[in-house]
Amino acid sequence: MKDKRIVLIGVNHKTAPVELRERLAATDNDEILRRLTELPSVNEAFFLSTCNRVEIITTTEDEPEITIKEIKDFLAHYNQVDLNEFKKSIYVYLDTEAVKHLFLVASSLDSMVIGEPQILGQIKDAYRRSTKQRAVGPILNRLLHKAFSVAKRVRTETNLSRYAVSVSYAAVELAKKIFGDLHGKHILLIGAGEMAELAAHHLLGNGVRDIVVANRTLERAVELSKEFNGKPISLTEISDYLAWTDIVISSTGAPHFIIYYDDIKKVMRQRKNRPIFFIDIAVPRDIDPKLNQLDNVYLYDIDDLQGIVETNKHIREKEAKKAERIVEEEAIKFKWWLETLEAVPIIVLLKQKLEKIRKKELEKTFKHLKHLSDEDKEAIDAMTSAMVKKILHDPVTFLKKREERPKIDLYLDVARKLFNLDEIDRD
Amino acid sequence: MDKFFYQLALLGYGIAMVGFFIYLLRPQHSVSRAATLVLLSGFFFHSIGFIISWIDLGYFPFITVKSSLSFVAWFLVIVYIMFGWRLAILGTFLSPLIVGLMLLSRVVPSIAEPRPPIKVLWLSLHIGFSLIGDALLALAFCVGIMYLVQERHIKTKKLGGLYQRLPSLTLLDDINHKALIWGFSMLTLGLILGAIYAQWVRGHYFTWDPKEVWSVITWLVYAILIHERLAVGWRGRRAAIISIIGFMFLLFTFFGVNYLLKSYHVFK
Repeated sequence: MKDKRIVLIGVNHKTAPVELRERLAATDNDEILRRLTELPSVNEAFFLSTCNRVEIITTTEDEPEITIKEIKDFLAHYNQVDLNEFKKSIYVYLDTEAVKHLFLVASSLDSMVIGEPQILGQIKDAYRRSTKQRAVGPILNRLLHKAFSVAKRVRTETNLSRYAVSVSYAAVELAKKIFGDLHGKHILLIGAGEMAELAAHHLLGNGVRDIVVANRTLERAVELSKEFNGKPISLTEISDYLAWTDIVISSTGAPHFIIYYDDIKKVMRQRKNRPIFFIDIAVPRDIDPKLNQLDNVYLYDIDDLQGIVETNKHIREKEAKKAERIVEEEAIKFKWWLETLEAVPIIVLLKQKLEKIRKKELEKTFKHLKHLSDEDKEAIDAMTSAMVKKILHDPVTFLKKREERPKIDLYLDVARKLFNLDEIDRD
Repeated sequence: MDKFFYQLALLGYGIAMVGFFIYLLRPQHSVSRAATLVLLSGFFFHSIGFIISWIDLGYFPFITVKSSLSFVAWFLVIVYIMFGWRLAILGTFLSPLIVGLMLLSRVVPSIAEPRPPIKVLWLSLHIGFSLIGDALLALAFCVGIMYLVQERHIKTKKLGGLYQRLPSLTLLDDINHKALIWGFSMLTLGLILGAIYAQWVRGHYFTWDPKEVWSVITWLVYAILIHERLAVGWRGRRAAIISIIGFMFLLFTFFGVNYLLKSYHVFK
């Protein structure tokens, strides 16, 4: 029984400059995965490639150094990069360290912005790809499932992901605190721009269906509205929609206000005072700040939102410590599981051996006792089965027990020797 | 005998209240669940106490000030179960009210329970609906406070304190709305039944008895609030404020009249 080792090789935003990451980033994930599994020393393989990292996890029964060299050579050759160039940027983790690193990554503790919510989805996609290609086996399957549940633990037991990491997320979190459920809410997007469009996308992801896009040029409005499946209008029509809208995202280049205090004051009565949330990402501001004084009107500008993100950063750093403790705990538990893996084959072998003996003796005995009825034979069959089961119960339980962790290898070895299991065929 | 169970109930509610305050600092599901369970066990003992008193008296025990306070506290637990099921933070705001009412109930001097009043069923219905209405309007009051706290956070852009724990403004406003509608309906029913009872017992639907007068005033305050909510859209901040003011009127009608003014409603 050879020891199975876990080998993790990767680069991330901390170790490699973006040019190198670009070169190593995969255009064809499936192809890379296939080639990885074809490497001689690799058993199971998993491959993750995002704009901020590349992570390769394999299991091997050979010496890890062999696998490491194979993978490094493969990367250099496949991406046509000189190995010396990126030797310094690569990190290598083995066994428990590899497990811990993966858990940290999945919980977004290794991300550029700690607590960001995208990495988990990216890992899940990569896992799906690896299973489709049958590149993963029992160890990596379990490892990745564990990574997902660790990420979930971190999400529920700490506040790491509760605090928005970007201006767009902060805006959406606020919208949720004002409106609760965002399903069926109406959005008005004025202007364009990365942050505004991102916020709109997040809102759509949270159940918003109706979005109206206003722009100085109708052409641009049409373009954007296609992206969001919304309705394009011109700037002059905005006032028609103020009664209908719940959330306004504004990001134009206009040097003056687009939305004035008096317009909104009038429209509140028409809206029966339903709350309205203004997100003003523009500089100079699009929306008259006095609006915030109105009842049931909420206005946040870019400074406000960035202030929230800054404050959140501090909180998240504190939560990160709690999260790291959870990761440590789970990494140790996984290490224990890895070790029981060794017990299972022994137990299987043990059961097989005893069953073989039982069957052989039954055959012999039945040959001699020809007068036995079928019923009798069944009874004796059952009896011998029960005996074997009871005899095995204690040893098997012992081998599976956790408390003997440090000496388990010794006991497994003794069991192997005592019962002379090595010479048995597995089939 | 029933006193013993009321003490147990008070103990349960007190511990639950502490639990809900701990929930503010440690917002874990397990904490809120534990607090809710303790609250429910207090409720269980409280119910037993009521059943015993009921059997003793022959009519439902909420006619005196002492027992009606206890009843409102008891009903507020039911209210918490209805609304607070997925909103544990509501427990943090309701439990002090519940404990406060139970303590007041203990402190108020007990008087000999009156002989079973005439047409006690109608009297019980009048009192029952009024008290249930009071409890629901107390909920509107609590939620109004929660709304104002949360709104302050969002308006001033200081998102610390209770911001994360408190739910969305819309949810709070919804609960306030429901509590108002139901509370007001119960209150109205209670008033009507009271008038009918008065007709039977004293020969007039309405006299200028202070309790009756103040009840009508309180009723008018809430009636105005509800009308403005539905017709004009007095939602959110205004509704929260009026819920709080209305509750002050309610408190005065309940206590002030009893102890500051003379009224036949007061059993001496």
